[in-house]
Amino acid sequence: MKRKVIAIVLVVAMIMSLTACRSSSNQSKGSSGNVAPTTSEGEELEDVTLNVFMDLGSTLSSGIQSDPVAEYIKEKTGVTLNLEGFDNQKESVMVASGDLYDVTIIDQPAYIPPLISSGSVADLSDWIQYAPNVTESSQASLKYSKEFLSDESGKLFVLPMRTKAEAVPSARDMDGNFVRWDHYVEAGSPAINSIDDLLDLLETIQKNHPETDSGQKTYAVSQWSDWGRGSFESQLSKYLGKTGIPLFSSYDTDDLEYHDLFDDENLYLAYAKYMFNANQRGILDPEAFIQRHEDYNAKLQDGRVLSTMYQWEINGINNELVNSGKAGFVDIPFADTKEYPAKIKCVAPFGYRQRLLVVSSKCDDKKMRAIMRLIDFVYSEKGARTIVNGPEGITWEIDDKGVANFTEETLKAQRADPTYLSTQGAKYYQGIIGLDYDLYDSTGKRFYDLTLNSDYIKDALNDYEKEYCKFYGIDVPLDVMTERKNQSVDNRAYEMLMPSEHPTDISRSTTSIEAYMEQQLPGLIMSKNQEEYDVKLAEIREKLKSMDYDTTNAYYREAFKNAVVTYDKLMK
Amino acid sequence: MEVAKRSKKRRYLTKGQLVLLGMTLPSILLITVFCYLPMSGWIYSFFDYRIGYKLSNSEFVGLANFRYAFGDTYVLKVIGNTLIISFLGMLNLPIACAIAILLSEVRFSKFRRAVQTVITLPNFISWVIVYSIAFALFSTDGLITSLIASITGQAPTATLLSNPATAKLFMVGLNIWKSAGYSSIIFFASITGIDPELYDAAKVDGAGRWHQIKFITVPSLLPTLMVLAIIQVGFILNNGFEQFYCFVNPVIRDQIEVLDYYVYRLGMLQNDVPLSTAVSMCKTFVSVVLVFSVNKLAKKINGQSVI
Amino acid sequence: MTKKKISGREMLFQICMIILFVVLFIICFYPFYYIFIASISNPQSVTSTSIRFLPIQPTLSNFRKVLELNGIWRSFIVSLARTVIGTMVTLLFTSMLAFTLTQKELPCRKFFYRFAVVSMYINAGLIPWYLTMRSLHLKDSFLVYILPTALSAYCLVLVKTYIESIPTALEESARIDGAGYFSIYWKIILPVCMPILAAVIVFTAVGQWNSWTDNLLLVDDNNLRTLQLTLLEYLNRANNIASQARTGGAVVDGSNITPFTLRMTITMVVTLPILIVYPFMQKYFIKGIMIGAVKG
Repeated sequence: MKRKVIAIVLVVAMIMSLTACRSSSNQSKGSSGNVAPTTSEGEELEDVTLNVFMDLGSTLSSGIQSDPVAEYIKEKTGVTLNLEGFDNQKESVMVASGDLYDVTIIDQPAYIPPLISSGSVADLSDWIQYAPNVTESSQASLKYSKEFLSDESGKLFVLPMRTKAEAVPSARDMDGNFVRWDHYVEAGSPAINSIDDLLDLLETIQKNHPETDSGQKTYAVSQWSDWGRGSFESQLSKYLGKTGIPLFSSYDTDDLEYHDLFDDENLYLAYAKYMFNANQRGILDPEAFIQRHEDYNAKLQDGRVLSTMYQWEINGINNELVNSGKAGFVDIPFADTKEYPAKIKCVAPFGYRQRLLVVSSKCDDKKMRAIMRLIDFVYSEKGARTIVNGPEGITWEIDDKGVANFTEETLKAQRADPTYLSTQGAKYYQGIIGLDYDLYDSTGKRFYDLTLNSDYIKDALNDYEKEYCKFYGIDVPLDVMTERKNQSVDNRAYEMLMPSEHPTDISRSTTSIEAYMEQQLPGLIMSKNQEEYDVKLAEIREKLKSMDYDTTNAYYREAFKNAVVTYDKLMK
Repeated sequence: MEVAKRSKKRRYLTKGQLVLLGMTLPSILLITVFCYLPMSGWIYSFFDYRIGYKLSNSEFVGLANFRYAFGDTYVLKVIGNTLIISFLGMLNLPIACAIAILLSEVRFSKFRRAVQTVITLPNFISWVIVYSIAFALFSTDGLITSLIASITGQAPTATLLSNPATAKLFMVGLNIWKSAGYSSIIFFASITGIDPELYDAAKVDGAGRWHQIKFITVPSLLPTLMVLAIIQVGFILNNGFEQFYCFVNPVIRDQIEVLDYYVYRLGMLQNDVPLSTAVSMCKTFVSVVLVFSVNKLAKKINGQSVI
Repeated sequence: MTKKKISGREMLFQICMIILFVVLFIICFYPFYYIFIASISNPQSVTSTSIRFLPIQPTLSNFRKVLELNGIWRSFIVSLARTVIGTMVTLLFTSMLAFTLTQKELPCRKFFYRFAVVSMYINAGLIPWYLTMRSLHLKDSFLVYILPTALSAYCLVLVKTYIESIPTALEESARIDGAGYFSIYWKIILPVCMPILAAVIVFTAVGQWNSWTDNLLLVDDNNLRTLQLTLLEYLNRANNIASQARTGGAVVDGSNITPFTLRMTITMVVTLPILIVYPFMQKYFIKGIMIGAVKG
């Protein structure tokens, strides 16, 4: 009896799992191949609702959208957007089953090859001609996609988004060496000629402000521990011009030299040294590597942490400081010398690896046409302007000289209510923008994000920002960076050219080495004295050797070298 | 299945059996479909499978994934942590039971009800928020830390959040705080089911409160306690990863890293499906073996098998 | 229960108990109180350590923001529906199986029980689970909220243990009267088991009310979106900023990025309905009422 029951259960289970297998491997048919022409100009746009899986940012919620920008998109392309928010788990089951949305934005290149091999993504090679703006603005990214995000056929399956074909100063969400301007002035506005100068400055600031208004102890330097490798970066990565890559290695952005953990030029070792010295001076928060980022941010808001490295973190805090009559945080630059080739500009000819747009192969021609209209729109200057500034004709217009500007009403409304642009849908759809946020428009001098242009900014400068500009002899704060002689370009392309899939043993040893370093670095930084620091560092290096570091490191060194060579070849 | 049932019907089954089977099989079918069917995914653990690829395109690697998961000496420490935290966590049951017994002896029914409601509250607070509150209470500027500092007159060197020596106990304590009240619901229900005549008879015999608890309440709760304990033994390798994901930091990580978090870090975070599958497969085997061994043991001692 | 004369020893015992439970009360209540005052504090001026005993600049704006969310009332109805229907279905299947497993006449009784118990320890992983649900056509269907949890092995064990503790006399007398298995189950066992079934209802309903992964992964239809997922998505907006900043470029300027008060408010919003309903279940947890009632 027992055996029979087991047998029945097994049979049922097998039948079920067979059907499961069949339906999951049966995705390969679909459209592509022969392409019907899209509707030509002047013809009525077909109304199509597209399901889009993308990062909803901080304003959108899933479902059908009806904000001013969505209405504008509908008017221009006939597309009604039905959004679904990005989620890692959801992405992984989608890739495993091939159940893609009409338009899906994938955030990991490693997911692309399986999607292509299971036939889940549509071939865009023939369709792309209907999105001329992509070809025009992002030629290199298409070439890249066909070579690195495709199979042997060299077809176009993926559109890497947020492309930035030419190096432009990073005007939004900068990294920097942020301290409060009044604190800096109070400390005697010292020049930062070395990291020791920076530590001196921070120490002075903490000495001047040992407690917050409510009597809590302050720390000049703090940190958090829940961002993995990203927890160990600081303003040094900007000013030393170093970019971190997997395995806690780094490369110099100016001469592209690779530094591993046995090399003191390594970004993370430079960071550890800096933090160690901060701790020696008693200006490092003892909870630096215990707290999570949200705790760090809360301390920053409470005024218990006196310096930080991300602009987005202090935007809100600066507003509050200004409202209460205080000065906000500003980026205090390191000396304009060869040692500090600051990362000022950014270029992303192949877009960002977290923004890979694919189209489901289940879309019929009608949907494909709509998708191409949408893609063409988000890659166009007009589309990009609409996404970051709100719809044309409502918030901005093009004047007689062909220059885009906010309308008078917008400027007035924005001054009265700083959230006005946001109510018009500005910056809602950055999750699907084709061109990067801070990119020059076709005039080559002005950002298409109108809030970044100096004419707009100059009008809105606060008192402390005016003082800051006067001190450095510039018009707007960004010029402190752009007028620098020693600067380097952060090229996102190298990251894109590193392999996206690693052999299993490499990816596993990477995981364990990174976990080991994440755990060891705080201990190293908290060393009691230089001697202990040196001993600990030697121990870490010794242990790394037993963790297959040499093989794994050689793999990444080679991969980076290849990326550089390939880049030169591709861009020729 | 139909055929099998019908042929059985003709030969062996009585009407009563048929009715019982009819009431049983739908549930069994549900378990089969929703719990056992997805088990086919265990096959991933023997392949170098990557998300999205077909199994037929993946290389068969035998036990390599198991070897990787359990080959590291660090995993021994992780398993050690898991066992210690789980064993201490089993205190949850006797505590929940004691709460239920003692609380039902309290005479003031409004107070009793209020406590009964409030002790279930922690269960509804997610770990992320428990962490936020713990940080507000126990970090260097936290309410409790500064309270202790003002009593003792010295600043603490390490807080509960960052003291490796007490990290495990802190995790266990939080876990019991969060779940004991909720688990006590079961015992409240079981106490309700005790025949009041038993108490009346005991009272007539002059048994005091303590005797009533000892000779009536506790023995009546024992079967439930036993069966829950055996179930929990099976969960000895499962601590969930959420709590540890929220509370982990580099200072105490090697003290509180448990198997579930380890797998999350190695497997899920890196999309290493074969690895996490291999570990959960082993966990299931361990659970089943443990549950049936303990059950056998209970049978030897008690003369009656629980499961 | 009724107040007779209270002896000195009894008095001492009651006082000790009250002290003990007051301490327990505070330990369990303060965190919740903390969440409450955080949820009515001004989000701009609050950080986790600044809140202690009183709200800071009390405001209802957090609640207003949450309750004004698009589609929140619809998702509330969906959550309510899945909780009520799901709990009833689970109750039915679980108690029925628990009953039949106590009946000696059931063939393969032990096997079925063990089969159910072992299922608790099986975790197949996300992807196989998803593929199974998909092949059963449960994608975008309300049934995906109900069927997978229709049998709870844990509750099964509880109910079965409880049934075994019931004096067999009840059942036997019914059988002598000629009742079939189903009517014994329906007319005798179910009423007698009310206390444990009440516990099962609490566990299942809370589980249903709080679950969202099935919604996230398997249901895209906005008309079937649950409250938990709606709130989670809202919360994630705030979290998104930090995560986007990590992967190159944040999105919002000038807004407060701490999701702290938001998180607290959402906890309040999802917990309050449970707290409103829970006391009604408590009447089943009063010592000695049930069996007495059925017997008498």
